Amino acid sequence: MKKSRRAWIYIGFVAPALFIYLAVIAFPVMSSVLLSFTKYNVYKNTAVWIGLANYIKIFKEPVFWFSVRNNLFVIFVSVFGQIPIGFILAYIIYRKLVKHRNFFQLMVFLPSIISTVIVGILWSSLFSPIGAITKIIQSITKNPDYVMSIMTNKNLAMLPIGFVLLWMYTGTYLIIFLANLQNINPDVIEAAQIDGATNSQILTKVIIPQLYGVIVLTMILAISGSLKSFDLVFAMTGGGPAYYTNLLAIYMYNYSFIYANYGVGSAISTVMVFMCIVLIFMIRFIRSKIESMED
Amino acid sequence: MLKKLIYLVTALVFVASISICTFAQEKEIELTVLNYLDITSPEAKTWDATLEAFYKEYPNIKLKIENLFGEAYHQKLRALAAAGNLPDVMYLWPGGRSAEIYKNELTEDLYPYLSANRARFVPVAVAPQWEGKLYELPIATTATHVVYANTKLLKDLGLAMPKTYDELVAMVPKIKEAGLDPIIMPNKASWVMQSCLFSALVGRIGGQEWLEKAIAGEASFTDQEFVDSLKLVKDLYDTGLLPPSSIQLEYGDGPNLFASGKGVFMIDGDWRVNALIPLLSEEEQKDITLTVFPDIPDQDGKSGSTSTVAATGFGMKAGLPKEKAKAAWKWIYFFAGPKASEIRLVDQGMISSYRMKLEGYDLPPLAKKRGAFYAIHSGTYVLDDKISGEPINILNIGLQGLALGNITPEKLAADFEAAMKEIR
Repeated sequence: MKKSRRAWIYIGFVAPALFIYLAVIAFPVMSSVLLSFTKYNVYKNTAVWIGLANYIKIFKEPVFWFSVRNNLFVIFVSVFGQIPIGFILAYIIYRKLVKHRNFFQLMVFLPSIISTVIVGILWSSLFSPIGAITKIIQSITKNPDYVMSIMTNKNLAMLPIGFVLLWMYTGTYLIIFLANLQNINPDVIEAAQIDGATNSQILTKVIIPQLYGVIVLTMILAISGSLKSFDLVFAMTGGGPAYYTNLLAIYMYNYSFIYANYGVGSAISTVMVFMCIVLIFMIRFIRSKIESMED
Repeated sequence: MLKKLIYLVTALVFVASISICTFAQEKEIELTVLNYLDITSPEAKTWDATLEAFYKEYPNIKLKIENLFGEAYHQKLRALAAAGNLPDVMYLWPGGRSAEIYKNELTEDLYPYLSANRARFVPVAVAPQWEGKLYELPIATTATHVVYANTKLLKDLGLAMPKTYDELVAMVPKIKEAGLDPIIMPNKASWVMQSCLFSALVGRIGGQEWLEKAIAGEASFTDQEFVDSLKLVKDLYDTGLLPPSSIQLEYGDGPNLFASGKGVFMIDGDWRVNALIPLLSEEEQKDITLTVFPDIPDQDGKSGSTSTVAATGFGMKAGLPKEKAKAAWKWIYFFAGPKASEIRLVDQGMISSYRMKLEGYDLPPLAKKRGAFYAIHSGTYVLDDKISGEPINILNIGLQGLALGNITPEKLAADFEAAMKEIR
């Protein structure tokens, strides 16, 4: 086949997807970056160039840094909570260490298919001062005045949200890991067993090295998902009380849609994209280091 | 020849009569409507009755309605406005919430349509809303601050209605001893404290004149009047009048808690009457008094004042074609006018901005009390009606911060004034 013809075929197949990608992802991201340097009136579609003023404004605000802190907490819960627990549960099912595996799998996965808004409202009412958790603790401690107040503590307000994030999304990682565990050739494990490898050796020396790619993928999913995390927290607390559970996405939403200040909103989203890129490069760097050490 | 002429005249008469019939029958006009309604609330029944009455009067106007409530409504309206795709008719607020839409002239001034009918409405309701224009026709005047008092509970506890703030504070131990909350005011949603209590406190402590000056920039929000109002909010938590858990309670929790006797007082807007009526029997409604926050030491404002705002109503998109604009106005006027006002009065006890005689209506006791409330209590500004955007959010979040103890009244006042300076 002639080279030029092959090139046209490539272009023919790639162009539609590339066009959609550029239109839906690249163009809005670039527009948002440009808007972040302007004072933009969305209703009149007019923009005035103001340089770095929007960035200076957000970096000066304590609420911005508190939102960054909360986002890092969500990333921590996702990477060091959902992924390891999802993997452990998948491993338990894969190695048939529990009975009724299908039921177990379904129960863990079920929360991730329920609407996030419903989950948010459900847990919000459970954590309410007149909700079920307060009532249960009141009856256990026999203290009718007890009120669950963890959400009003500046340093602990994110904990209930972290718990709900674990409850809701661990099942997604369970499914990803289980599918990849089932792809591992059983002969390899059998061979290791014949060679006298213990269960922990099989896990650390045989299974985990084969899952490095998936672990990195899940970490990228967890980080990008955590940084844009909005719906669950918005439905549960709306970022309150005060700004204790504010996330960057809620902070951006407030600027863009409540104050109609799209310039500042775009600056926040640009920071989010930048953070996401840095964290993903960090993970890829760590992965390449681990692989080179093993080689 | 004569025969031909007769045929011609007959044909002309036939064509002309068909044309007249066609023109006589009004053309059907469809309007897209974005409505603010919780379809699970008691108001939904009233809305249905209003629509039925409208269709009876204007069968040629078809309303294509989308109902949304709470933040979902505001998000959708903002998104439609940003996309330049507003519906023909939409539910709007006199200031604050709808300020961006007015500022960018996305809706039509209704004064030319209202013209001679203006005198049929109470003046405060049809006063200019933005730069001398009327962008929505308010259905009522709203008191955003009402203290609902359960007089039976007070009597059972051996207490009387407090006339001063000190008397109110003195009640706390006795009420708490009985295992009740002194004041129910769920304010997890940050606007509630500002709208349903703080605005009235500022009006009471500083007075309407000072408040007008502060908004105009002739006085500062760091003045003692504003700082003292913030201190009072902090004091409500410190004295136990408001339980700390109130900032964790959903706004919708209030009426149920109050109706089930979990608290002696409830602070909310006058619209909460609609939610309380179905929860209380007529006898129980007689035990509920609608009043305002008691007198505060050294207050400059009027005793018994509340915070009021011309209420919400419908407005129309700017630049509608003539026929559509006429149809839109018919709906807007109908919704604020005599027929819909009567339906709301009978169903909800809502006193309309359209002047009407109230005698002869069989209203629930709480609805009658709501009607009487407006005659007794004068009004001052509601802050989020006059101020929008970032400053009001700083204030709303700061008011929650006072409850949580993470900000001082002085710091909040300074932050608010700084944000106001940026938008003035």
